Amino acid sequence: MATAVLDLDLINLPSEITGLTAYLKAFILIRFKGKPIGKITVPINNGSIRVEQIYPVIISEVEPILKKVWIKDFLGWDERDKIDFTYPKATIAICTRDRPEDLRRCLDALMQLPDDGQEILVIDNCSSTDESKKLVESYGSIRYIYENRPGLNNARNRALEEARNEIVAFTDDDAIPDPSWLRALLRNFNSPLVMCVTGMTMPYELETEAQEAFERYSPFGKGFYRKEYSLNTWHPLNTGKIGAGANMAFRKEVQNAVGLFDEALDAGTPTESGGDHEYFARLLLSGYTIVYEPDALSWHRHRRTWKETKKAIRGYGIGVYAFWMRLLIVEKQLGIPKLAYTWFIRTQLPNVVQSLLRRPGSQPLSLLVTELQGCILGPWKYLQSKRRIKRNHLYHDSY
Amino acid sequence: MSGAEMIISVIIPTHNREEALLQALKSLSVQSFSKLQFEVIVVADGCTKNTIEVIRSFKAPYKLQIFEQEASGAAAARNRGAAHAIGSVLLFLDDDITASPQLVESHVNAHQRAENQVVIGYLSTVLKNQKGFFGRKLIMWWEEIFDAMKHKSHLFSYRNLLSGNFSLSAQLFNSVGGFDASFKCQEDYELGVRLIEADAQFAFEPEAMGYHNEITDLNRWLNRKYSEGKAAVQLYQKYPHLIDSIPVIKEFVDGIPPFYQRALQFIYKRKLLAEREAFIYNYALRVAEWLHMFQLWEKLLGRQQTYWYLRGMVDSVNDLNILMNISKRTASIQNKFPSIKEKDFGGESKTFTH
Repeated sequence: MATAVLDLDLINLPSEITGLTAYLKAFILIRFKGKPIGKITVPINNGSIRVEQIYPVIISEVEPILKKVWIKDFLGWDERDKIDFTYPKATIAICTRDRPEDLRRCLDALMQLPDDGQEILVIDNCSSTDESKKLVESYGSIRYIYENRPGLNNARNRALEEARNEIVAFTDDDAIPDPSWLRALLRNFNSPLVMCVTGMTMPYELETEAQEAFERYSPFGKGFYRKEYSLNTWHPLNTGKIGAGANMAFRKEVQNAVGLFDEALDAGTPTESGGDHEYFARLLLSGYTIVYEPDALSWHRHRRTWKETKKAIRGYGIGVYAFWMRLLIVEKQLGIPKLAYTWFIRTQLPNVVQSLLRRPGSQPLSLLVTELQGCILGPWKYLQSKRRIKRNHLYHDSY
Repeated sequence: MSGAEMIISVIIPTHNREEALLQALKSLSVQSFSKLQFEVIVVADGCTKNTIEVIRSFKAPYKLQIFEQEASGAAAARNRGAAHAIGSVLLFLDDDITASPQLVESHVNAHQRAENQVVIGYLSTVLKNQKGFFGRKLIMWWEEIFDAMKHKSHLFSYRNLLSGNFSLSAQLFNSVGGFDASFKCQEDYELGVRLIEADAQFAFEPEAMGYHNEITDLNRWLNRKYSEGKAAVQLYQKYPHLIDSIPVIKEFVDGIPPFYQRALQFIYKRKLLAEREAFIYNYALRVAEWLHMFQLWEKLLGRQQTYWYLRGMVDSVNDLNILMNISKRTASIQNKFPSIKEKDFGGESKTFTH
């Protein structure tokens, strides 16, 4: 049975939420004055929620963070406030491939953003039809670029190249950014060392069991606390917790600082994912700071069927090991094997054991096994991907 | 100077770095601020004849004075420059700073906004030859210092006064008595202490920007740690009540931790052996970098730094007991100044940090 996704602000709580007859549970994002501070899951009785009855759940979830948020709001103090800060201008880049329906929802959401002079750029990565192109043209103000080299990282590189503004904010075509998303990201570019800011991603819908399992297994949201990652505070090769490609922004000059995204990684190549996390690692290794900003909220539509979800999880397994392979052989990072060992012993293996013992709260075994399969394939997939690129270059060069 | 009032004097101490200095003087030729309203004073501290000739041959479009003195340190050189300055504001720059075109103007504007101010300018680090881990670490280290000052609610401490790019009124400078020339390192922090005690307002001005041509390599860096260790003891001896803000020494407040006791005694008694060990660490650092193992490299560097800092502390006193008795001395000082102890919270006494 499906889970309803709701969004409540403590400042403006309704007394009752009705019309939820199709659902048994509700996933609720709690905000305080627009700022996301927590998420809860509560049961639904007879299609409605009496908000009074979920107060205890709300309180136990948000109490520690609300104290901090409230006192900062009361004092008007913010750790991001710098004396010389002005908002930089941004280009929003959406990399898409054959998903016009999702793209429309994403673009509609971007139209709700306050106009700070941002530019919107759609990079169409080898779509087989011209539906996306027609859709983008119907909006008028959006730039459309067709990128004919397949691969998400190729599309990202193209976006960095084509962007006309200082900051390039990436969103996936299946994500729906909140109206305050862009400003929240931009606000953190307040030091020359901050080269990247990532945002928080919540599920847009939890209509199927597969979507619920995905959200439980690998949530895109990385917590409600803002965090600064740098060499001084974080292991630079362990970038899974920093954020995700669906919701991240860079300075355009990042390409001069650490180079382009690796075209052998991520969707559209045999490695399926990992391009974003590999790039984060390279940034940290070069001494830059990455900020995780939960205020930069976006909603992601997870894959609806089990088949797609399993493929995605397997892809993550492949991606992690593929990007570690790159860090090992290209960047010569010899700490990788130790990291892989630690992940297996401390996380993956205990998860499998828990699942076999059917402990409450354990993950579905099939997903865990799929991910492990992906991990084993990862390094070879990376090499395969590299070979394929080399072959294509040779092929193109001979003409 | 027909009619135009001399507003600001730029004072640059230099020690045999003519190339860097020439670049600094050139960058001052293209200021947005009127060339009739600022002067530049170079104080050559223990420079060779060659260096002085090079400086003298520079054709400046502004009023340029050059003074020579026997090698006696940057603090003495700055005092000498200040004594000859006629501007109402003194701007101290280091000889490895290339000024941005708005640097002088931004300092002047900041002083017009409020009185009794110490204006600290931003320095953007430009690396010369440092590659790899050390270069990264250097940039992060500098940027974090300035980043902290950029926060709107930053509480300034004497340790925010960086001598590379700051300005204050000549009157304020003279009223606190200028730099203490007995400090060969951290003379800026020492001045900062007296400025804060004189109720000067510290302000950070990001637009007063200069490019810092950083030539520090690993050896110079460790050398600096050594000098900092020496300066830390000197600073503590002059201002014992600042103990809570001096690295390493602050950990001696409630008795010296056993690690430091052993380390200090070892360094004091077996100097040669300790030196050899440090030498080996230098190689280990290189190996760690060659293996691309940052975490290990950082750990090794941390130990090296600690060693040279402690070594500086040991070398600055002739009797180790002076260091070993820091905690007793502090206790007696804290009893003399009960106001720095806070007793109202939960019965347990807490020491405030300056």
